[in-house]
Formats: sequence, C-alpha cells, structure tokens
Amino acid sequence: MAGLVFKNVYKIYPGDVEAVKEFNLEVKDKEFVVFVGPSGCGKSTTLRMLAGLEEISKGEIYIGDTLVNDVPPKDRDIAMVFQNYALYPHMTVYDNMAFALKLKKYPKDEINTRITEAAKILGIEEYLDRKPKALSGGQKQRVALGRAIVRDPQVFLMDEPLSNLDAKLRVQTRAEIIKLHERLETTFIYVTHDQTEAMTMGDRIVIMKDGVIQQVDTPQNVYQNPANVFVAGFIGSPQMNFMEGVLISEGDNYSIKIDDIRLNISKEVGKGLANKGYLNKAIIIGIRPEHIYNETRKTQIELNGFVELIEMLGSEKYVYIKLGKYQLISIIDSDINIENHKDIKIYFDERKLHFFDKDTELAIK
Amino acid sequence: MKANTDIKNNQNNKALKASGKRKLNDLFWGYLLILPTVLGLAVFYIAAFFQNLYYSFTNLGAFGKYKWVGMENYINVFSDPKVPQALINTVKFTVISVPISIIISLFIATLLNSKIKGLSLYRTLYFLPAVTMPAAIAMMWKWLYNGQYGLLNQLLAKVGIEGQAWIADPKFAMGALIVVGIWSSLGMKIIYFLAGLQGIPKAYYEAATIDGAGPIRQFFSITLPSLTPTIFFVMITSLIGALQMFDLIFLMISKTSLAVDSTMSIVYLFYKYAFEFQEKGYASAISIVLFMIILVITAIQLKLQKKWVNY
Repeated sequence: MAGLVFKNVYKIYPGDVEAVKEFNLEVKDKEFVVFVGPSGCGKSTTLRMLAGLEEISKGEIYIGDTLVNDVPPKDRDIAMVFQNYALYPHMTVYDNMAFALKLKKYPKDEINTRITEAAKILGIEEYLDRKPKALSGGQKQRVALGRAIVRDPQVFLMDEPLSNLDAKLRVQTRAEIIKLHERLETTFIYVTHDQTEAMTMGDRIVIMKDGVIQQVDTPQNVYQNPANVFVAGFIGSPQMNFMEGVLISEGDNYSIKIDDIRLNISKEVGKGLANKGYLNKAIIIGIRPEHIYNETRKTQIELNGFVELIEMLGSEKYVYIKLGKYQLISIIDSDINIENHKDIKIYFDERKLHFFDKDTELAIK
Repeated sequence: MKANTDIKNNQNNKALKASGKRKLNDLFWGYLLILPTVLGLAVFYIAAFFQNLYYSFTNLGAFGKYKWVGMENYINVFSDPKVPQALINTVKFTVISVPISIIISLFIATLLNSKIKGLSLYRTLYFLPAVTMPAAIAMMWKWLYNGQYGLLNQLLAKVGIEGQAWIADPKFAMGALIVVGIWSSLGMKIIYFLAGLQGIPKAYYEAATIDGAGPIRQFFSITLPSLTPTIFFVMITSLIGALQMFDLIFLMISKTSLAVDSTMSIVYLFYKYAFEFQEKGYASAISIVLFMIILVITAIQLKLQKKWVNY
C-alpha cells in the first residue's frame, strides 16, 4: 500500500506530440482515483507511464517514496487489469494467476493459498482448471482481477476494465470492484471514458482533456462545482445545458440577456458577477437538466419555452424545450403530464445556475 | 378469415419462390466464379491422381499399350533396393531440414518483428529466395559449391580449410542439398511466422512485463505457445514439401555424378522410372506409396496437434 505522486509529468511522442502535459497529482494511500476523459485525452498514457509500459518523457512519478522513472515494471509492485483482460490463452485460470508468483519464486504452498483465497473472493473457484476461452466475458474479467489480487500489489491499475462487458454486467462488476477496493484497502487507479463509472467509483476524479488535467475533485464537487465548461459538459448525463448571454443592469436590477430573452437575477448574484468585471460582458450560463423546472415547482426565474420532443425513460422523461435559439433538455418525473409541441413555462433557480467566462471557459467563482 | 389466411399463404409461397430463385441465382454465380479453380484442380490434381492410381496397377511403358498387372508393381516396389535407399535419403533430408528451417525462420521472424532500423530492407532481403526461381537458386548454389572455383572453397582456403567437391562427393552432397533446401525455404516460413507473431496481442507482453517475465521467458511462455497454430501449419506444409523434394536434386546433381545414389529422393526415383526408364506403371506405384506415407504422417500430425497446438 502506498500513495503516489506525479510531478510535472509529460509524455511527448516523436514529432513533438504532447499526449500528456504538466500532469501533477498526489494520490493518497488506499485512495480510489479515477482518470476520466474522452478518448485521446492522455488518461491511459498516464496510467501506462505509472505502470512502466511507457517511458516518462519529463517529470517524476513516485510510488510510495520511491522515484520509479527508471524502475522496471516488475519492480514497481503494481498490478494491472487490461481492457481486453490479456489473459494468457494457453494457460489455465490457475496458471494465469500463478504466473507472476512463479516468476517471483514464491513457494508452491504460498502460491496455492493466495490463488485459493483470491478465487474465493471473486467466486471463480470452479473455473481454476479452465482455459480463458472457455470463460464468459464476466468470468474473464474476474480472472483478470484475480491475477492482480494474488500479487498483493501496492497499487492496482485498471485500464477500462469494464468496457468489454455488456451494460448489465458492467453495473454489477462496477459494484464488485468498489467492494473489492474496500476489502483490499489498496490504492486503485482506474481509467475510464465513462463518466458514470467515474462518478460512482472514485474517491476522487481526475478529468482530463487533450493531455491536460481539467479538474481533480470528489465526484460531488466535480458535479456541483465544475471548474470549466468542458468538465460541466462532460460530467452528468444528459449533459448540462449551455447558453450564451450578457450581464446587464438597470439601476439595482440585474439580468442576463440571452438574445431577446431575459433572465432576471437577484441583486446579490448580479453584483457578484459585476464586481468580477462581467457587467455588459458575454458569459456562458449553464444549467443541469434536472434543474429546469415546470409548473409543479415554480422558482423565481420564469421563461416561456416550447416542447419539441419528449423521451420517456420509465421513471423520468427527457423533455426537449426550445428556448430562443437554444434547445434545452429538462429531466422531469414521468408522472407529470407535459404536452408535446405546446408552449411551456419553465423555471430556473438562480442558485443552480453555473456561470463561465466566455473566453477562458473557466467557471466564474 | 379463411380467405385471409389463403391470401397470406399465397403471399408466403410467392415470397418463398422469389427467395428460392434468388438462392439459385446466387449459387449459379458462386459456382461460375470458382469454376476455373475447380477445373484446374479436377484436371491436374484429382483426375491425374486417379489416373496415376490406375496406372500403378498396369505395366504402362513408353507407348500407349498396356495391361492390368494387379499388385505386381507394388510387390516390386518393396523388393527394389533403390526404393529403401531413396526413402532413407528423403527422410534424412526431411528430418534434418524441416526442424532446422523452422527454428532458423522463427528466430529471424522474431528479430524482424522487433523495432529495428532498416526493417523493410531486411524483410525484403529475407523474402527474396522465396520469389526466386528454383532453377536460379540451384545454379547459384552450384557455383558456390563448385569444387575448383566455387566461392565457398575460396573462402575456406582463406581460413586454412581445404575445400571439398561439395555436390560431387557422396559424403557431402546430401548435406549441401539440405543447406540449399533450408536457405530457399526460409523466406516463406519467415512470412508465415511474422504474420503469426503480429497476430499476438501486445497486451499479453505488457501483462507479462508487469508480471516480471523477461524477453526470453516471454518468448517461451507467450510467443511460442501463441504461435503453435502457425508452427503446426508450417510444419505440415514443409514436411509434405520436403518429402516431395525433387527440383534441387534434379538441378544440382548431375546425372553422372557419384553422388546420385546418395541424394536420390523418392520423387526423383519416380521421375527416373517414369521418364528415363519409361516404366510409367511402376513409377506410378512408387508415387502412390509416397502418397500413402505422406497421408499417414499428416494424419498422425493432425492427431498429435491436439496435445500441443493452442487455438
């Protein structure tokens, strides 16, 4: 068990392609940290640098107190679970799990004990004599986890381990990995492109884009206080609605003008924005779908929209509402009756609005 | 209600007929497109095989007239002292050249699969023998091996070793042929192994690296087991090829050479009887015996592969 430190880590590929830039992060011992971002954001590359499968172009990575830049992968005391499991196809499940231990010259009894124990945790005892091709995707996934567990590593690395599973199994395995983390009390670094996985699994989430960290925080904070437009849009599904407007004031009354629509906001909020120099300047307004209300929950900002489409999801429905030139998605309870292709009054709560600088796209705090 | 179902049935029948027609049409085009290959196979392989089988029971000679002689040719095959000699030569060639060529080509393929400078140049160089005409290969090696002015002997002389008449001396001729056989078959084998190597997922090696396996351990624990289907394929095809060895001997060993007997393969013997002695019926029997040998060996291999080939 050990914490991790990334100090100014870069990955530069030939041709000056910077896959990871200025990556700084401290991971506490026993923490579950998720790297998330769209494909090509550098999350897997960072994980692979940590594993020793990619060279670190610049910067330093520490596992515990050891600088591991020049330490070969096998001596980093890590275990990795791969996206396609990477189980050795010609070895039985048992031999797959024993491989690393045999190489480390563990005594046979010790190997046996560890494998039996791991197999029990994962419920794969009956498959130990099978070869990987005789296993289902979910079973292979467990074996891959088992192969990592038996090594009792300081850090668990997982590279999109659930992406080859079907939706149902993914949800189930997700919960199992969370439980596994609690049970093993080891540091987990988990890479995914799926924001739901990131939100549900991580103690903290590292959101990346174009090789750069956008925000590092707990799932709740990332959701409630996104650092910029990218994070706000990436985390949450359906994604946050964005509109562009200008902050104006008439005496003590503040409002945001979105084309010919006006959002009247309180003096407090208006002044706050004005004090940061945003008066008469363009800003981006964000609002999450669940914060666009209807007649059943009237709040201070009232607007007139038009229902363009309703998607029924069972317990809730997505209502697509035209507001000026924008199309907003609102999540509402499926019991509430909304008529399609009709005008609708919608309500915003200003405390739920997010404001971003139009140029930097950073959140205005 | 009944009328309704009738209409439905009618429609179903029509649909069935239409789909049946389309199927027929598809079949027609399918068969038409494979016709050239099928014809070629039928005439030059399948018909030829059965004709050969038939001839092996006759006393067919140089000219048309022949009669049925039953098992006589086969009885002669087993009493002909030339046959065991040719069989031993063929087996010697096969048993030595096949494993060595597999090991060498696998080794070279592994090197060519790594990231080295000038990779495509090396790949081209190693593949060249495979696209060179056997006659050209034989001629070149004949020169190299030449006892008086061959390059090999000149090089040997430089390090103080006395040269030999490599392909004229019965002691060395088979070895010399084996070397050429191995050399000329490397290109194709390397290509097969390269394709096999590139089909092994990189993640296996990454997992093994983290597990602590070095390059040699990775080769034996991952590369080799993953490559067994390719090794099996290469082994079967090269065994069959080696057992049918003919062109190199024909081109490199002159008919009057002392080394003829010690290099005579089964197929060469067949050729000799069929086209030099004009005993086509007897020659056919020899070729059928070789066919049976290859059949049995391949069947055994197919059976054994379950024990060592990982699919």
